[in-house]
Amino acid sequence: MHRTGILYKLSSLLVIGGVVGWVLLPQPTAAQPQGMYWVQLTDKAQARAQPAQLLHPATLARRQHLGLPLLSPDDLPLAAPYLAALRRLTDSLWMTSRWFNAVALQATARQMAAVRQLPFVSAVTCLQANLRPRPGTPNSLVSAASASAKGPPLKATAQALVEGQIGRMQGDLCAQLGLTGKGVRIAVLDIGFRGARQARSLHHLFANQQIESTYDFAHHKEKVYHGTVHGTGVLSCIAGRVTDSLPIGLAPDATFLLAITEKGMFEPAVEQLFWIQALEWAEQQGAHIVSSSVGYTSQRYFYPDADGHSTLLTQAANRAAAKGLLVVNAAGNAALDAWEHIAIPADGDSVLCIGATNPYTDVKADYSSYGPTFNRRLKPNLCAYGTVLCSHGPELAIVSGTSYSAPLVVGLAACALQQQPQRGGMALFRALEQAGHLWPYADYAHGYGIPQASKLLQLPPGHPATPQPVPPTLSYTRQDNALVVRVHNVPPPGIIRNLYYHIQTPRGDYRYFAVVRAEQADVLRIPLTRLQAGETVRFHYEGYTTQYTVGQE
Amino acid sequence: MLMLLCPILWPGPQAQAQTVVLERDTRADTLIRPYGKNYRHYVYPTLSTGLVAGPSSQGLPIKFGGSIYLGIGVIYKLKLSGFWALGAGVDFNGVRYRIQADSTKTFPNATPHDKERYALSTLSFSAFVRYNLDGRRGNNIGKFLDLGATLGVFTQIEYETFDRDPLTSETIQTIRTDLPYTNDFSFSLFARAGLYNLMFYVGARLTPVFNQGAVRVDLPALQLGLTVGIH
Repeated sequence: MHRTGILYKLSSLLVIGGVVGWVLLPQPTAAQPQGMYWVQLTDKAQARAQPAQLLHPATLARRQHLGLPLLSPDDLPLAAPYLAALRRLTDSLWMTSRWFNAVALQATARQMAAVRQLPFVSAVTCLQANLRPRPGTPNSLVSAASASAKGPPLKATAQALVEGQIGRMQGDLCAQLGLTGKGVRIAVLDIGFRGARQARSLHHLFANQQIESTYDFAHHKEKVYHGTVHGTGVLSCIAGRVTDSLPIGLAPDATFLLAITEKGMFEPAVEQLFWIQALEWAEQQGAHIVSSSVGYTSQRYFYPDADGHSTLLTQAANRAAAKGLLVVNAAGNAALDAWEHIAIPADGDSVLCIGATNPYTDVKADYSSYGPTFNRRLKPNLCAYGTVLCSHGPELAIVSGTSYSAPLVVGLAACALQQQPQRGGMALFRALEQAGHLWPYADYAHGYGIPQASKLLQLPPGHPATPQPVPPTLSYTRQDNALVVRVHNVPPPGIIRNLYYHIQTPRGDYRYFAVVRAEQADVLRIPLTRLQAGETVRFHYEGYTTQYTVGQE
Repeated sequence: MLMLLCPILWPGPQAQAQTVVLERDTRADTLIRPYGKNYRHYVYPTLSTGLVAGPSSQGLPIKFGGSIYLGIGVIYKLKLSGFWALGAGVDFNGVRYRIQADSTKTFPNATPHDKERYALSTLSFSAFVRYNLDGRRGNNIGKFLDLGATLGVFTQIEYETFDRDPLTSETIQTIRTDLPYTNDFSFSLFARAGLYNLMFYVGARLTPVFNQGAVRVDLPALQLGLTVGIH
């Protein structure tokens, strides 16, 4: 009789395990596993160039306008001999970054040991341990955005919705003042622009040759009208129009640079490099504003990474802002996920992070990601409609997601920049924040609220929309060791008005915030035992903000 | 009592007779979570299935295609670093070894049956080392390789036969559970290659099911299959 021996079983296990491992584990091109590495170089080997050789005239004009140096060391290309040496040692160079003086490359551990010995290599970071595509949804806002209306059933027609997405920002003022984004260059970084050429809402962009440059960084080609329709929707939220008199976005006359930075099913690590490349490209091409609806969450990061400076993406976004660009990024649709918080790179302190509101309640949409950053800085900075009518490929559709809120704000920002082109990106950033309908109140769901054109744009003297001081709309009193808040104008039934309030710690962050519907005069009662010394409760109702600080009454 | 508890339970100020549309206590935002897919501790249930593999013992030919196992279990993972983790698992599984009714069959007897099988129910306790293949992956299980060992307790071992009664055409099933030649425990080694929720499993039992002092045959020792982590 045959008896299976232990040695036989062990050897079988090893053989089968080896086969399974060989099939499953990363062996993309070579015998050894490869990784993606970010290689920082020491210098650019005295590379020299004239600004006009490297940068678009619009970039030079913007820098001149803002008083920035026409050429800085991080504009120079990487040293060719260094790149040649790296090419000899490794399998492939994925990208180079002028701003970081770095190279992303694919190599084995043995190859990297040789790379580390090179005298011009200052630091090496492993971005990805293996490079095999993996299943699952790409970790971006793109995948989370839904192609159907969220929230309560539509109470209004699509026309009412599209009027609302513009009207809530007082966008009609832009048209009244003749502001259409003309002369402003906007880069849109997205996953695909399928159907953009066929979309009637975007016809004028192609007829007037307003799409100045395109590049698909994921597939290394100029064509971008493929992939998903997500970018088409985003583009229409900046510049689309249903008819000449019914805009979808506020900047129909802006000039556009379109970039694809995602491959869909590909590795997030690589897609992030594409995004950085696209950002450098946009800056080089003279963009004034970058609109990005891409973000990364738990597929690659932990919440502590969202501290505004830790990730490469955020560093790149902040650097673009330092070069005078306004970088606008969607907050993310992760509020209902375990992640909950804003996506990276929306955490950047120089990145204008846009959340989404529910058009029917005027309060944060359920999916819109919460702030703050991990180090307790305010995010999102602003918000806008999260359910919009826009181009879903060639057709119009109602879609939801912070991906569409961000470009709505971009359209308004372009109008402001057209009116006041002397503003740099960060000045525009601050102006947009101060134009929020909740300003100076803020919370980690709405930021400073929805930007208002009347507060952002310069209006002619005596214009009826000129902001006026708001008389007190609420008051509070101390009763029975509690703070009782009373609103002065209770809305009639059927009209929704919200009272916003937060508790600010002495450190300046908000430990609690809420939105309460004003349905009766005594709208809120806060036991003083709930408050700690030095804390401030700030209330906002109908344009008026007031506060109570413990110990200062 | 409820009134006493309420101030403790309520996270923040309350509205009275009002509709709170949104509220959030942010104090927990910066706490480092101890529990999660890629945090210090994580527990998740698993479902597993697969095929028996390996050579049959002489005298006990096994139908490999029809010999399967099904299991349900729980895995606990203790993260040590971005690359290494330790883990433990409890699994209850059933394996059916279908016996080929041919002339080579001599165990447990040479009598041919329409169907004949051993059914093993096992409560298994495993320990493993996990090597993660994608170091920076966020709060995800990611890709990994597990190497581990399992101690199995046979809760039931049955020998079953199925025969058609020539008179009534009914199937007669016999089940024998008091087998005198089985062991109580088993010891196995296993490897698992994981890809997010899916794990490819290969295991080898190093100890026999049957007491080799009493008989000289055994059931095949290898198992190949899939385990789905539910998370």
